[in-house]
Amino acid sequence: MDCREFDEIADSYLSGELLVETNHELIRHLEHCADCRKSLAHKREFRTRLQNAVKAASAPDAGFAARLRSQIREQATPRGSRLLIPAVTFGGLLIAGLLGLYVFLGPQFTSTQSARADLEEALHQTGLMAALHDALGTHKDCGFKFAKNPPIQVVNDHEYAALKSEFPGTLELVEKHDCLFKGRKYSHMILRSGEKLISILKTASESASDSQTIVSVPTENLQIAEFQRNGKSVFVISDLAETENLQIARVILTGKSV
Amino acid sequence: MFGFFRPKRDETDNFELEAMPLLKDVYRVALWLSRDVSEAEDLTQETFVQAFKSFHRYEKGTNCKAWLMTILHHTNAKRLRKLSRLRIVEDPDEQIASTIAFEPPAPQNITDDDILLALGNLPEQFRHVVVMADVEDFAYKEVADILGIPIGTVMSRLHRGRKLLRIELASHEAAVRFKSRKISAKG
Repeated sequence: MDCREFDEIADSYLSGELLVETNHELIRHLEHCADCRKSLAHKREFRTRLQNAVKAASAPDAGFAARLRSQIREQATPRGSRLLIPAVTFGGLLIAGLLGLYVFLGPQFTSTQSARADLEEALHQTGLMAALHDALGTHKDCGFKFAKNPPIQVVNDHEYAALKSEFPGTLELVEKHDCLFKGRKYSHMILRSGEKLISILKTASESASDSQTIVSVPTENLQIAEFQRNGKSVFVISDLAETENLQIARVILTGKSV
Repeated sequence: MFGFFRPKRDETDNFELEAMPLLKDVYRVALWLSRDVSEAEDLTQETFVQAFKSFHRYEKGTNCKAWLMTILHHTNAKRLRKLSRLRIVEDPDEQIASTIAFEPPAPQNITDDDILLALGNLPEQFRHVVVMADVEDFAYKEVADILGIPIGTVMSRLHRGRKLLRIELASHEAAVRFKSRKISAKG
């Protein structure tokens, strides 16, 4: 191989596109040709600079990913289902929470099978069970985010620290944002425990009283726990086991585990 | 609120896991294809909407980036047809090849802005393959599959594209050297 031949294939060598034999020939040439070694080093350095320069100068703007997600939803969803499902889901969450379908008192969370059965039947009859199943999703694809407003606190630092220390396994914060649906504002916090996702939602309560009791709404595929405090309804929604989901609600309510 | 817009939970999750992290890469290539921020956003958006709609056809575990780039390429071709901007050149490779007589060295005394400017000035066919192979690190065969052209064409376009880029930068480098000599002579 001579220097001219080397020049012809040096780029393909850097791209890892040469046959093994050609690679060997090129390396043998480099062993005794200082000029080509230098030229190859420059070519390699130039390629790195090109990559870095292009990558540094071609980032989308900060809000683009969020806009794209909502565009995908907008364009990839049949028109009729766009508002119906969220409406049903939100209605479901609120009705389930506010009506207090199933009540646990204090630290002892015993459940009666008949109350649960009543609840499940009600959910099935209203079609809410299916909607809630869809609602679990990834917990991340909220279409109503306030991108600009700083998120209001869903749980305070003390409660969050208690959650982290009391929860069996590790809890990791995925995201925190505010969202809006039909004029109602929600604060939404998403946590991850292994493969499981936990959503904590807070919204203004319909009821004036602080019941301080946890309402648990177990469905086939997700658990919903709700309580009211300081004029707000707090929902804990997850695909955890019911006891774990309740434990999270309990820690947020009392600031400690049992 | 949650993922309730989507028909299937698993598919939505997988799309979020596999395709969405590649947003920056798709946008970057779109930007270098169109040389315009708002066109790049439109191209990226259309690519991802298409990808989401046909995500069931994506084979899990295969190269998702290459799959998205193929959709981007089709989307871009459609855009160009719409704008009637698709210039039909008989053999651009050969035309430009005849103008390149020497192998320029890899430039050294240049800034990142010089590099970006030179890349932007490359004719589209060359810019596209250089970005795909040298920036995005696709193999020649992958570039050929994505662009739907023979691998030989990819290789010749790359060869000439890289050469043109170096010529442009070498002449810029020479101009800068000349200027700085003039300044020091004055001083």
